[in-house]
Amino acid sequence: MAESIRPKADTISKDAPKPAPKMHIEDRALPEGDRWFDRTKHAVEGWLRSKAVDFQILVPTMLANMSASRAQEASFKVDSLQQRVDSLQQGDARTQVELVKLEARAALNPKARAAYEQAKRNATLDQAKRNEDLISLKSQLEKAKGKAVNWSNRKSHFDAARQNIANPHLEELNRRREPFDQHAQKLNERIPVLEGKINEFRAKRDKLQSTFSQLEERLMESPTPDALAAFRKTAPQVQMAIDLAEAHLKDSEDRLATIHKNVAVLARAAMPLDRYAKDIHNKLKLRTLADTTVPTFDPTPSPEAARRRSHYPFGIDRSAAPKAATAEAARTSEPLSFSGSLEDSDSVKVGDYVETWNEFFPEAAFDEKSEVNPAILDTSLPIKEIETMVQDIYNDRDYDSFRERIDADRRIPDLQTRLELMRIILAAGR
Amino acid sequence: MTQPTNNTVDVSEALKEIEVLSQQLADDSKVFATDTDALIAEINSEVVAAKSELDKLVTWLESGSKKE
Repeated sequence: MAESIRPKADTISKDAPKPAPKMHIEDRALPEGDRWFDRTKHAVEGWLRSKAVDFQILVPTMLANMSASRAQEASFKVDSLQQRVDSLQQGDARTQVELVKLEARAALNPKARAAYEQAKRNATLDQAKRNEDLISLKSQLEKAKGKAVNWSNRKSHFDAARQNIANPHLEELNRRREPFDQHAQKLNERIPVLEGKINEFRAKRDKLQSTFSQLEERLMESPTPDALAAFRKTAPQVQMAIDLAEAHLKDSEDRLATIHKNVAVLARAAMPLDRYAKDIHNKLKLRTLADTTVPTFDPTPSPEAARRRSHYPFGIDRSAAPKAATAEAARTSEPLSFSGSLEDSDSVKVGDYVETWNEFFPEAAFDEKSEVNPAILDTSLPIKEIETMVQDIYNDRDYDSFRERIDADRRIPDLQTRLELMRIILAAGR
Repeated sequence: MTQPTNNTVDVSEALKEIEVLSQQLADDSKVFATDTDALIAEINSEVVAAKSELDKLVTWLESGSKKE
């Protein structure tokens, strides 16, 4: 390309206005590194543990789920028994109809009398057996109905308990994080405005630069003295405007980069708070096989707060954060303390809750491969004792007090037995 | 007196347009600088406030853990 026809830079007036160098003392970068994230993570975990929030939620949720399964099983049994009762009663009715037909036939044809008499004798015998079965089935039916109601009531009880116990702690935490959320929301709103202004201004600069360059190319292709003279007269003013815009753009982009960096640091530091809410929310999911109408407690903040946190850069989507910070965050995104999901209770596997349980009750530590048959609940587990112990947990609200209380409680022979009972409860609820 | 060529007329018009754009950009630069300064100051104060609130929250969580 031919040499530019623009005036040399040193021909542009030295008096031309230039952006003054700025001292942005408020633009200091926040401290980076893992320390802040770790501090928040440890604070949240320590707080959850001290309030036994996980445990308070975990146990009653498990018991509620277990009770729901039992209620459903009992309900199936009620249906099955009712069908058998109906079938017996229908069979009895059919026999009576057959007898009436045989009797009518015998009245018309004496040869049929013998068959009728035999059928009558058989029916009398069957009737006695059927009555006996019916009495037994009806008794079983009443028991099954009672059991279904009982488990349903238990489910409601545990469900109400977990909501009443866990809510105050979680609500207080959500209330206390509101001021931070409000600032985060302001950042979520204002940063895009700044980005928009920068983009808009850059477009104006680009337009002038592009128009200017196009004209320059045209002149270089077919220069005329007058046109060149006119161009050279205007060029310094244009170049000065472009340089001034460039200086402002660079300054703003540098400051925006610092802002992005700071916001990424803040978002990462706040990440454990979001994760705990998600973690607890998952644990609160009721596996209601029989009844899905029971309202579940949502530990996440108000819909408004949740909406705010769902926007960049705070909340789940932090895709616009600097890559280094995002990658680092992903690397350290192990779940808070423990997590788990509820599985099929027919063959109960002790799994995700092992870590926490073992930590607090090493005497009755789980073997990860062990399986517990939930049927043991029906045969050997004193339900009243379970309820008492669960109530103790609700009242004490921490593990240590719970340990002391069950240790002092002599209604069950020894601590090992009581822990074993709790272990079974936890396993059965899965 | 010589008449201006078509090319000279075109260039003259293009230069007029460029001059207008150039003046607009110079004016916009001032507005842009003022606006972004204010906006960045506002954003930075939100960053500082958010940090302060997060510090307070974490301190509260830590003190809650110790008491129990």
